Amino acid sequence: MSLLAVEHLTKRFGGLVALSNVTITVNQGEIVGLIGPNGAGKTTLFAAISGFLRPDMGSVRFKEHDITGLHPHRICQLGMARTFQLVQPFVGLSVLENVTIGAFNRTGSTLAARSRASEILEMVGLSQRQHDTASALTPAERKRLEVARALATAPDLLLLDEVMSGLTPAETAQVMDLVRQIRDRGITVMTIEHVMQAVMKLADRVVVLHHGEKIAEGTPATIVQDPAVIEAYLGQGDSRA
Amino acid sequence: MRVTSWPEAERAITLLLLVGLALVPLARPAPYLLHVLIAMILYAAVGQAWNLLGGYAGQLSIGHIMYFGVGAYAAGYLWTAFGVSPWVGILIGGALAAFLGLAVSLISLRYGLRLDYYALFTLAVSQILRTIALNTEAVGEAMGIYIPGGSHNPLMMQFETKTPYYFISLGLLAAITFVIYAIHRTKMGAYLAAIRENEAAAEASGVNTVFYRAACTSLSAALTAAAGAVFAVYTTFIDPDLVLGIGPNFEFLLVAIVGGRGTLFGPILGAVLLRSISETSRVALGAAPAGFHLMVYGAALIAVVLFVPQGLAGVVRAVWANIGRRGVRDNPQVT
Amino acid sequence: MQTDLLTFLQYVANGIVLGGVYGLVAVGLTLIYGVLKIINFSHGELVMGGMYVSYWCFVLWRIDPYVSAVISMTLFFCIGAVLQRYVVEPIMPAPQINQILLTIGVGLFLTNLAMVLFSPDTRTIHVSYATTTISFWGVLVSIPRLVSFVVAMVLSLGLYLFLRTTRLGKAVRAAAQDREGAQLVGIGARQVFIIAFGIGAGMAAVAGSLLTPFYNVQPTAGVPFVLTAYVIVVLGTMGNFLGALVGALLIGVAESVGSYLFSPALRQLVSFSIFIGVLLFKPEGLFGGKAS
Repeated sequence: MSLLAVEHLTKRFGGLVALSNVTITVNQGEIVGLIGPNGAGKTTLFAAISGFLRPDMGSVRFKEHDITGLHPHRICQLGMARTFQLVQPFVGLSVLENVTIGAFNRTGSTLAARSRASEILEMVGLSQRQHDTASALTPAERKRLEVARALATAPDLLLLDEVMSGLTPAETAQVMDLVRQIRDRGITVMTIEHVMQAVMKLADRVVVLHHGEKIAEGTPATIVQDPAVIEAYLGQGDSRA
Repeated sequence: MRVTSWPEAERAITLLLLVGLALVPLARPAPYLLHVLIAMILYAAVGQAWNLLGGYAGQLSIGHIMYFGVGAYAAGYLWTAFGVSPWVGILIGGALAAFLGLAVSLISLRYGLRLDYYALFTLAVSQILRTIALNTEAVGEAMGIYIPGGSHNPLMMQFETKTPYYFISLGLLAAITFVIYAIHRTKMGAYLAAIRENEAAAEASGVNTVFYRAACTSLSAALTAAAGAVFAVYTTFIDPDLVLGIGPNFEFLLVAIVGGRGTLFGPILGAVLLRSISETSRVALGAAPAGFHLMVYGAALIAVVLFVPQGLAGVVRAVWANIGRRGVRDNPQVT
Repeated sequence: MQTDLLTFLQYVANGIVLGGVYGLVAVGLTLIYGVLKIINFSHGELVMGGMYVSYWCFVLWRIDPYVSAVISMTLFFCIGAVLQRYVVEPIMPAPQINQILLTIGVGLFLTNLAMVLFSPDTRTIHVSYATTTISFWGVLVSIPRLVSFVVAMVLSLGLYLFLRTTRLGKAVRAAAQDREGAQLVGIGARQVFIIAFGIGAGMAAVAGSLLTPFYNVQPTAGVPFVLTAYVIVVLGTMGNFLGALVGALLIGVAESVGSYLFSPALRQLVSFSIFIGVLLFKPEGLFGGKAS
């Protein structure tokens, strides 16, 4: 049963075609990696799926609902959460308050939301920082905060946008572990990544975008050998694969 | 030293201020002083109502006086033209203002008016309303409305002494403060803070930003209008400049900003300080040149924005943190 | 029929003439916004300041407003520069709400400083040529207004040339596009901001001086100007010089014709309605994308 079905998604910005006829399905329990050279349209795809952009053509179905064109908050309420490539914390609020806001997605009670937030913070390893202001966190911690807030909304599908960029190898390993924990909790994950090693180890399936089009799809092993993929990356001068 | 968190301290200070104000009449102050205090309390009430929208939700409504004016004119007009009790006038004025607030909010959301454009939009609407009032015969145009007073008729909010008005105003201030207090501890309060801090992130976290912004605007508008209605009945005279003019408009803004937006007691402190300034300048300089206190207000606003953006409440908090040697251990202030 | 058309044209002419002076105000404001990206709520008070300078020069020393315009321009250039350096600059990295509040505070302070210094009384001056008029095919235009219009247009043109041709002017324009761009021309961003604000303030003050012969001078004179100036700037696209001029003429005529068709009291309603219309339906203004 496909959790997410994106069909023929097209998005134009003036004369520029950012997404062209993209069709992707994500099944329950998977970790799907979304890769592609810079400017391929990956974040645009996330934005279009999660309601921040309205596609010009095509549709998005989530849990058998047509969610094309719905407001982001409605999509979040339906069970899809996302993180932003450039993290967007609630800067003036504490770490706990940040995550609590996410937790309110499923409850009206401050107590319940707060306790859920605490639990999530425990999971991502930010408990000691829970009373600190978000602005005081390191970039790596801010990424975890972003993930924590998205998790607190109790999603069935989590869209992660480059949560591993700019991290040390040790930090990257921690995040990979976290993603696996998330999947073990029954949450399906689609993740945009440039850190190839991480994607190849984590993902069950990989989708490759280039110039707004899907050029390949398959297991990490097959993708690595796909000539179209190699061409796309070589053409960009990106050597990590 | 009691181990308190800032939210607890904030609560205590607010309660202290309100109770303190409630006890003032026991000292049998002179009518003039009572008058000054009533004006101060009403300003605090409006500042507090603005605080809900501008401080907690972060929406820069700089034309907020439009709601005050709607309340004032509604109560005044209904009383003088139809004999409707001002108590009812408060409700009707509140409802009208809520509707206006809803319109302003939805229009600005529909057309994506952000920040400075939203601010200008609210200012423009408020001045349009003023021009309309100035040119509408039914509400006395430039002459305004004279609201008879001085008789004894509690059902019509008519009292012979000032003391009842004092308590009505204080009751209103307390009610508005309580509304803010109740909201900010709940889901709505958290969502408003989210909207204030980062609207995109709020949407991504499941916050219906349109709904909450509109709801907050309407509520703030209704509360502001209530203060306007009480003001009209108490001062017995309103005209377009008094209740829709730019001067009072900015004064309300200042009360909340100088006092400390986004805090429970900020506007109260702000009103105390600013009104003290205006009264002192009036007394100290004899017949103070008109506008002197406003000049000081302007300077105060500049100083606050440059040096103490958190306002007086921020100063209080810093002092409190130092006394207890507390850092940012406790829940940081939602500001 | 002839007289109606004539009267109508009269109002249009008045509108154009007033629009010219509005243009000077708007050009200064759009420059400040374009370069500094802040909403200057004190802009009206700078106009008012120019008015008072010319008023006192005339009353005390019999200096003609068109001459004292130079004085007010220089004086307010300096005041603007000081404001930028010491009051606005610290606030530039802060959230926009703080910037807006700051300029509101400056405006509030200046309005009431004037009230304290000069009393709230309305003052007027009477230049010897106040009532002379010139006729364009039957449409009468008062000489002072015409002169003001011409001077305003000349100054605007001068500013335009300055921005286009001189090195400093190009630095200012570069800074409007991109804050770091000014540095490329070898002039520090801070100096560029100071100059931009100074010019904006100077233009506003000159406009005030030019209005003195036929406008009521009072401390609150600046208040309606701020809103009208913003209507113009938004209509003509924020940051767009030409747009500010075109917008000013349009608003000047609209207000004038509005007061003819409806009533003088409603003239501001006309510009507010246009403002709301623009904000809602064409917030990017007549000239679309920004261009200094």
